[in-house]
Amino acid sequence: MLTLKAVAFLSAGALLVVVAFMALDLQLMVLGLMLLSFLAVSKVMKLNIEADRKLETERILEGERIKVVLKVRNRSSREAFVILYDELPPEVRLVRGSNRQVLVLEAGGRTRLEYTIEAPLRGHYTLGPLKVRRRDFFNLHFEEELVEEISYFSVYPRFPELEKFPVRSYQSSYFEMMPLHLTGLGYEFFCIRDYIKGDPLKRINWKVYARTRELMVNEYEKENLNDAFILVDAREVTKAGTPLANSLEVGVKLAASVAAFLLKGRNQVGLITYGGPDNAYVVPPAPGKNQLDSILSVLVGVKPQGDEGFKVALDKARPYLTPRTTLILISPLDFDETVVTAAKEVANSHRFFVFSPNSHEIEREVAGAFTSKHTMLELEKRLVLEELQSFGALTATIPGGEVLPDVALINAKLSELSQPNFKRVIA
Amino acid sequence: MIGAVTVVVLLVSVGIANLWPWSMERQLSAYTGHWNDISFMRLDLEKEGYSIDNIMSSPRVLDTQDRWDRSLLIVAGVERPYTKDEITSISNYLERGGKLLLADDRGYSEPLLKQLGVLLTINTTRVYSPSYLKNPDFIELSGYIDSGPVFSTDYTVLSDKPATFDGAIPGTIFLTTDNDSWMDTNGNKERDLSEPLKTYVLGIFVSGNTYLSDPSIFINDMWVRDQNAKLGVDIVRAMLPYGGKIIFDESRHVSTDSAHRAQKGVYDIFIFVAFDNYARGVVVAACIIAVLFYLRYVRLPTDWRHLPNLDEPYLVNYQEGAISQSDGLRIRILLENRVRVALRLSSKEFNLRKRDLMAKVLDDPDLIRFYRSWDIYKKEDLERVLDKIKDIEITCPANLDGGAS
Repeated sequence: MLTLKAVAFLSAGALLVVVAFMALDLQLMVLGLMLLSFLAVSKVMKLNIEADRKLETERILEGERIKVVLKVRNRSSREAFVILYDELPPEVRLVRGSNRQVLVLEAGGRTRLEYTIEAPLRGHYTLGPLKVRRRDFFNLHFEEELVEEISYFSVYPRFPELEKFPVRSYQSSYFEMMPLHLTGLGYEFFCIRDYIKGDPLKRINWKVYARTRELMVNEYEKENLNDAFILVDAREVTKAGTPLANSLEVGVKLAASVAAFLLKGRNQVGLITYGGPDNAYVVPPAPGKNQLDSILSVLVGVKPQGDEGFKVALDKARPYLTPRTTLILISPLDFDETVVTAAKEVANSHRFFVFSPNSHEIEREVAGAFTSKHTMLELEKRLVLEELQSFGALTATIPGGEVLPDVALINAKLSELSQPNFKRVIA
Repeated sequence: MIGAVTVVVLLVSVGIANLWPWSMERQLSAYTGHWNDISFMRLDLEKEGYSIDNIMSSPRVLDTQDRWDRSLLIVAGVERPYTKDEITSISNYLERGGKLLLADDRGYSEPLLKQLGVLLTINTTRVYSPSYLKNPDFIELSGYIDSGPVFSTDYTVLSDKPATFDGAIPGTIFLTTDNDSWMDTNGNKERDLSEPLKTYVLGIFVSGNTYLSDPSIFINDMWVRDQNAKLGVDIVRAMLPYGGKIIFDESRHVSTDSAHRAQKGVYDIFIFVAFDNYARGVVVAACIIAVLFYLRYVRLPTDWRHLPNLDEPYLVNYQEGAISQSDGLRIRILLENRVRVALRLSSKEFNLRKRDLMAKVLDDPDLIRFYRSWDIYKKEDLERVLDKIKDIEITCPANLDGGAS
């Protein structure tokens, strides 16, 4: 590659040759050729650089920091004036040290770059490759090469902890098609059975023992939703706002909160993200901590892309749905023509929650202006939410604009939805 | 870049290969001292006070000067033909005051002679004469010059296997064979009855220029024999009596040496590009385009600094600005949906009774007027209507089945 100076030389040389042709001037021709020859002569061979990067940790939460140490060695037999630059993803901040170094690297010489980065945004990231730029003595040419030393780290979303979620165990009308209610940890009495060695003493029904002289223990109904499916909208439009504050980020954190809450209560939770072919992930419903890891892994990597609507996601979820499955849609609902039709199909047969990040509020804060067009857009969205409510969906608008959604407000909205005679919430 | 260099190298190579007559041998150079070169002639002319110059590339360089007074172009040995442009250049040179001494025993100069109006034919058949020196190939010629400072001078010169002029001679003859010469037409090196004895012409003056059918009288090996040197110098003196510049045309010589061949090929390409208007235009345009192309795609070193994009805005809904008159239909649909959703009706149900329902539900005259004539509403009116739609209280008509909010 040429530097700006070399481009000037090249232009001047070429211009002189052209003018020499036009004016039939041999001296100009010689001068032009000299300039061009100078460029050719100053070009020399490549370097051989070796790099090794060490990361303090490979998994952090949003807002945490990682210390990086990169050792660089010049394995070629000559020294060189080089610029080293360790490529960082644009989603991280450099908080200490530098990922760039300008130095004369001697033959066989070593150097190291030490720096600390802060990752405020969830995602799977790569560090590197190391970029090396070498200039020649006259600063006419520069050679750039990549040292393929790549490191990986993941930033997990920092999500708010929910106090409650308005789902309850209920008797299915499709009794014969469903598995029987299971005993488990809960508060509602389910049955009584003989004592088995190992049963906790506190569950022995002493009144029955007094009456029958036989040890019997109470069984409680497992407070289990059976399964819930979280559908996260990751279409291209969900990135409206800034990388830190947008509908998808709000949705991801809310999905993580809901999944963590429900899995903690020993429910089965599944996840679908939708938008395009590259961000359509399906995590089948399952209980347990490993399931939370699976869900978080997906949520870490999901990127805004595509324009496939809710209908496509619902079709993908159908194989996993039972009549008792609760559907939780997290979407700003913008530009999704399919959401009303698809919601109408499922709202009567499933418990259906719609959490809609307030994309207009997020965007408005970024744009810094409010016009009559915005009134129209907000009104259109309000009508969509009202229509979903008319199908029986429980809807809540989630405020945006912050890195973390307002936990208190979310909990308040969930409490409202939990009321026996709930009043649908319209923000 | 590598591709461009490859293309240039290929073009140059092809040019060299096409332009060079590979089978010929090099001789008659004024700058090398082999027996068959003419460097002795150059040195003697220098001693006579003439300035010496040469043409290495092409006679087209003669176009670069407007006047050629007191200049003599010596072409000794034409080993490859002149191009049409080169013939024109020599013709123009003569019109601008230059003079020509052309010695060609191969016949490649005939197109040039025709252009100059000198209707001579060069016969390359061997001529023999009883007047030879040591070797029958070296026949003696008789010369006579009476022109300018050279007064009535006779010469005896030696030549090596000379060619001769055929047909009518258009000028003043100054160099011939003797009367007993004969042309060996059948190549048996003996005189047959069909090969008559006669005098053959080898040199003439025409319009101040000199034409010879035999350059061998000037080669180093001959220059020192008989009166070759005297004749050679006197020819030049007769043509340039007051001194001047002598230009040796080296462009017609062919070398067997590969380096010389390559050098000559490059000269030819250079001259072709430099003097042909079309070629020059194409090269200039190509150079300009190449430079522009390179500058367009050259990648200058970028500043390597980490710039987080965490605050970079991305707008979807809020880049359109305020509503305009074209949004009238959209607002009308919004009004319909507002009523439909409030009445809890499906689209199908609503569409069946839309006109009737809207008339019953809307009690604001402004909204009713907008619903009927939305397309004439201007921007400010639309904004007012939009505010009303936002705050409208919708009451279910008494005779409507189904709920209302």
